[in-house]
Amino acid sequence: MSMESIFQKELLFFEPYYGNATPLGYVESPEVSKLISSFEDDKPLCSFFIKNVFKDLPKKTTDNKNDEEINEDYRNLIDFIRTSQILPLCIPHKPSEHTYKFFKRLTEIADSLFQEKIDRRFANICEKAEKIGIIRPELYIDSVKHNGKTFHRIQLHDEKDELFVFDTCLFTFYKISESLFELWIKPENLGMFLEVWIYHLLKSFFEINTDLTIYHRVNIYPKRKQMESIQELANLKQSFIITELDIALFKNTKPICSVECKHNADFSDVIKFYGILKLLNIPEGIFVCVNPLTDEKYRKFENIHIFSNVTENDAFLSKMKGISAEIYLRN
Amino acid sequence: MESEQKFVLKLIYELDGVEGRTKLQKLIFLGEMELGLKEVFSFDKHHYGPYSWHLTEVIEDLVASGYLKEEIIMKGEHISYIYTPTKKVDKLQLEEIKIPSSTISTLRKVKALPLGIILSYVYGKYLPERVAVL
Repeated sequence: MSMESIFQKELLFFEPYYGNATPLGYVESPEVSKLISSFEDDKPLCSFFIKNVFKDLPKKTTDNKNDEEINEDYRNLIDFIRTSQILPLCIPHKPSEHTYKFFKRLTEIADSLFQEKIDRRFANICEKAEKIGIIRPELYIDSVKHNGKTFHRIQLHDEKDELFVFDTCLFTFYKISESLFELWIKPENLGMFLEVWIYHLLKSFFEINTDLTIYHRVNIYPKRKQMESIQELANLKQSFIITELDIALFKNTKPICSVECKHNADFSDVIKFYGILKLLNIPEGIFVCVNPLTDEKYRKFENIHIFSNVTENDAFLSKMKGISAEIYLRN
Repeated sequence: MESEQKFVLKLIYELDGVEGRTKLQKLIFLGEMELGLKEVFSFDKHHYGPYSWHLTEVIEDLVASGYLKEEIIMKGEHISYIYTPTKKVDKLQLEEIKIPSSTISTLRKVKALPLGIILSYVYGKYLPERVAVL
């Protein structure tokens, strides 16, 4: 295993445009890699993570009054998980009646939510997640973090809006791994799961092709003349970076393909992607979206291979691997 | 505590932590070369660019003695380190180390840049013969 990176290579796309990839720790973590591997033979699980943005899990479009009640419960559950990073599966040791009821209710809500979304019991989900390593039981959690602060006692409002306080040290919980939190729960990283899924898919598929390197999140910038002073360096604006590629494939030193991933795309996104490929002289692109952008699940537009409604497309994985292999051989 | 240790702790404290040994090396190098930081460490043209073995020893001593926290994170196939001062650091001890606020301000901005950009600058200016483009 390499130690920290030495001089980071600049990726030349097409003069004067260069790229720089900074791998994200949680994207490359073993548990995320294992989770994504588990998607291969668990389509409902795959669909659940890719289609559902965590914060939107409580949403339900219906006029039924009872459904509004469920929304509120789901929202409380989601808020609890997001702020505490723990799953309310276990009942605390020696709980007070109030504490017991609070967690029992949360567990019931979680059960209801997962039955609705993925037709599975909450306990089953946790069992699988523990095997993958994205959650782990903690025999003794002595603190939880929330909004940058560390708490040794948790204060929450229960469904009756009564302030509820308990000591964290009395519990055994399932703790959500930092990787899963960053990837799926953290609001700033909304929608990243799709591109991480595709990234790992391609990495795994091309594992034996040593002449191919796959980069995640490549910042593109025009090469500037050498800066003369540290002040010039310090004042480098963010606009220096003109765009970002979700995924870039390099065969030896040549870019051969870029992959763009979108949850909700319209055709202007495809046109924009076309422009980026042209600017950077990348021969081919793959555009992956969750929404049904086109009538066909696969369509070619110019040099872009468009895959729509990917989570509902049983043939998506095999088709994408086939197209990627063709691109690799063609270039 | 030795004066070099206090200097490194003070700098990391003022910068609210630093991610990466390489970045920390380059920040101190640039601080000494261009921002008037006292030349506490001397840098060689190492295989990885301007590098101070003494600085590495100081960092390791600070981690071993509990003054500096070293968190290891995986970044692809590489390991990265995040350095932050621990609660054991007595801020009063660091007050004798003076670093101009303008220097800290510039280094903060540079610290926020991607490592690749910083290395491009360092190599381009100080080791142009080593610049590789792929």
